[in-house]
Amino acid sequence: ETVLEVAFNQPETHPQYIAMKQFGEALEKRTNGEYKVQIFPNELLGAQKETVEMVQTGTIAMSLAAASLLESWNPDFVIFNLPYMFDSIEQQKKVVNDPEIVGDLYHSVEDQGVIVLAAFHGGVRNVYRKSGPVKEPSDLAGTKVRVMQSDTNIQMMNNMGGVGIAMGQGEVYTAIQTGVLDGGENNEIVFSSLKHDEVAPYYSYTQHLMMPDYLVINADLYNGLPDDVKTIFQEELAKAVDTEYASFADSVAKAKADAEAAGAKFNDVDLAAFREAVKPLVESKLNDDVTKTIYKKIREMK
Amino acid sequence: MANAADIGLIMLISIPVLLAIGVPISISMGLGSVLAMATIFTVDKMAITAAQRAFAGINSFSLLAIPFFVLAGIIMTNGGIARRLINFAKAIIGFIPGALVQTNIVANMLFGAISGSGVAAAAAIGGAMGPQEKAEGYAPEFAAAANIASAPAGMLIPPSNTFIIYSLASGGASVAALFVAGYIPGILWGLACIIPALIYARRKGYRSERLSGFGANLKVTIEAFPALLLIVIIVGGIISGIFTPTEASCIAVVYVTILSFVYRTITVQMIPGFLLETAKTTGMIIFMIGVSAIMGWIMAYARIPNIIAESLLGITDSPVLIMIMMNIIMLILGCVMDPTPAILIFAPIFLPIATSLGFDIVHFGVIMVFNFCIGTITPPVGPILFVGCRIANLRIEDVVRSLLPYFMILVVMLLAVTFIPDLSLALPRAFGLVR
Amino acid sequence: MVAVKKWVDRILAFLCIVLCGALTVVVTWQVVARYVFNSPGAVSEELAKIMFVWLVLFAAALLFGEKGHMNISFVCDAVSKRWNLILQIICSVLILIFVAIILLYGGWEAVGRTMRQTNAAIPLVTTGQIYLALPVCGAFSIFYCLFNIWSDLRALRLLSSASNREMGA
Ligand code: NA
Ligand code: NA
Repeated sequence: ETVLEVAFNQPETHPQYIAMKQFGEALEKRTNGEYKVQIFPNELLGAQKETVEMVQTGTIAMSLAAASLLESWNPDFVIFNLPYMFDSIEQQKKVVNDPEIVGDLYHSVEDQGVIVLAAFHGGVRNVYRKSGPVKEPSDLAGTKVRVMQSDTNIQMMNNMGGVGIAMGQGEVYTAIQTGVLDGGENNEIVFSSLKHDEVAPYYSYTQHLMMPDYLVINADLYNGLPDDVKTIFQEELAKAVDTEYASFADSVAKAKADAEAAGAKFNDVDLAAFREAVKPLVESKLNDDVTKTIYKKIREMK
Repeated sequence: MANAADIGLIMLISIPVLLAIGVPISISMGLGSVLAMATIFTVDKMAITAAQRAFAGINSFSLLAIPFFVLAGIIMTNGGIARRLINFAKAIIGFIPGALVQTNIVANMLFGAISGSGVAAAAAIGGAMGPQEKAEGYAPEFAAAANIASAPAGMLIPPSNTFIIYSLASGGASVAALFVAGYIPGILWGLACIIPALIYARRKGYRSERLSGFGANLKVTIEAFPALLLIVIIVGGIISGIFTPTEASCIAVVYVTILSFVYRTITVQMIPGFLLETAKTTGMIIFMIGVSAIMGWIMAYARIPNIIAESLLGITDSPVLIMIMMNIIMLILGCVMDPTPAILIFAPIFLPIATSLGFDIVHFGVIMVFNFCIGTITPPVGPILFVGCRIANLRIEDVVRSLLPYFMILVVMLLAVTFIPDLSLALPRAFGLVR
Repeated sequence: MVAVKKWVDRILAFLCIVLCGALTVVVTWQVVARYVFNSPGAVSEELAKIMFVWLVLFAAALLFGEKGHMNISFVCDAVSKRWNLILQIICSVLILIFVAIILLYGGWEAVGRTMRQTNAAIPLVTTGQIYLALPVCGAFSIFYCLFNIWSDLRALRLLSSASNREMGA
């Protein structure tokens, strides 16, 4: 009997937890209890950067990992973290789980001890702020928006017309409240659950980022699995991905309703203008064959 | 697969034995945890994971406030600033017996309130008060105990990094509500410390300060003004958005350095010594926090927190009993863990139980932080206890005896905070922050 | 041996002082930069964290040399001078085991595995280089443990020869 530990940084109610739980149950059933999945939610085993390192060491079997995290393992992973990479959530789902497109990329870190096994939806990030809706890039002039801690994200926000400020999530609420920041950018679920709607109620659908979350597994462990188990992994993970995308949509709808009840206001924006504004950044980041090829395949899809 | 009973037993036996023979606290926890890990993992996996956990425990921006406030405390002490702040506190509360110690308590509340760091309060105020208290014939254990016991009040009075950590761990309790909720329990904590100090001082016949006239008090207030201005700069800076609490701690260093040079109380040649002293105090405390992260990890891996939660709900369904048991467990956890990892690990476990019993998420946050604040002054892992002892040049076991009355009254306060929700929730409700 | 220890002390103390001072400068810079340039970037906070980790680990090593880490000493204080030294040697051996296996070996392995991962905020730096603080601290701590064991053994020998002389006299 093998117990596969899965490290996760969100609570049990999160769509990815639900999907992994479903995967675990199916795996256990189909292998007659030989393989079990044990999920550790709520950052119990540590932050994602550390749990991915535990996967690398083989201390634990699997971890969920934000897409940006793998950029430090291989810069090519930047591709799905660039603004306006996908036209729709459906397109993202198709691309990030298509072995034809992503197979090489997902195995590129195998020599460092991990493999990307599946990709889940991680939400669509939109700008929210204290002082009124955003419609076009010029509305963001002088607006200090919290972004994730990387120079690409700072540059993205600057291109979008605002001022990107990198900061840990823990300080964002007070920073907006006290005026260090004017707003943030995140999906509806984070916006509502961290109560940022209390301090920055104007949520504008800039839809600038749609980053997947990866399921990574220890390479030796995965390569050592019998072929029939590998097949079960692939089949059941595909179902888990379906579940996750559906469940994420439900969670977003609920978060939006909660935020509206708390007084948040949602509005649409001039998407084409924002897309145009960040184009130079996207082009500057697509600088080798791997990323260029993937980008071309995505553009050809529609 | 981890066997929780084995792992719990190994740590429960090995760590006290190591502590008893005099192994440093950090290493005792580290060895005990590593021993437990060795039952599950190969040596290389164990070593790498333990090393990475210890590293992650240290690698946090919010911990940076600790060296800064320690340094600010050292400079304030040597630069005569803490003394001016203390004179001001004396003017407020010096009329009651044991005046110096009572002053220490109030000054700790003032200092801790602005800094959010109980460790810094214990270092800065305790460091400055110690020599005076000694000169006036106070028992050093008594003075140190009062300093240590009152220092955590500032972790409850906003701003407080501890509440921000709870907000994260709880999955989004409102930080604003938590901050406002901490005011009354924090002030109660400080006031509670005055009582044992008063009783002891009465019994020993420690004197009160003669009431000084208006003129003398005015002089003391004017002298303390630049020091009090630091409070305005820090609180004002945070509230008006000029800097975050961690940055504020650094600004405090810059401000007190400039002020001390203006007073001509310190010289450039003294600075390397201050920095080295800061580094050592920081190294001791943070290294211990880092190594305790190994212990937190192996406990989480063995699902010990979950087992505790499940057995809790299995014992009884009386909400009062369950809350009392959770408080006892948190007090025990607080003995061996730092508030930050303890909150990160146990908030997600205990909060669902508390909410199922009808407790408000903000109220439970105050209960939890209050518990782990008590933990900062208990052995074996008590950062404020350590700093307080180090500053006073005393051994832990000498001070713990004098701390006992404070533990008792703080536990009574904890029960009050637990079962009188209005102590936490009245203020945030008045501001419309909780329903 | 004593002269070597003095030099190691001096080097570590110097590094602690420099790092502690630089930390103050960097965080102050972060506040000022946000005002002057409107954005300090992601660099200063990450840089501060890296320096902080190195500072803590250097200082922790230095404290092993001073036997300055907080411990509970009532058993040691209650026993005879001879047993006190024996307990101190046992403690030093236990510390040695921890720092050698976890900090030096575990830290070194962690460095090797993360040498290719770049830091998100400071792409010039790899995770492995930051982890290097662990084995470096481990190496210094091992030196101090060996020194402490050596000097405690010497004291123990002096103690026994002194008591032998007393018995002979
Ligand atoms: Na505070
Ligand atoms: Na404690």
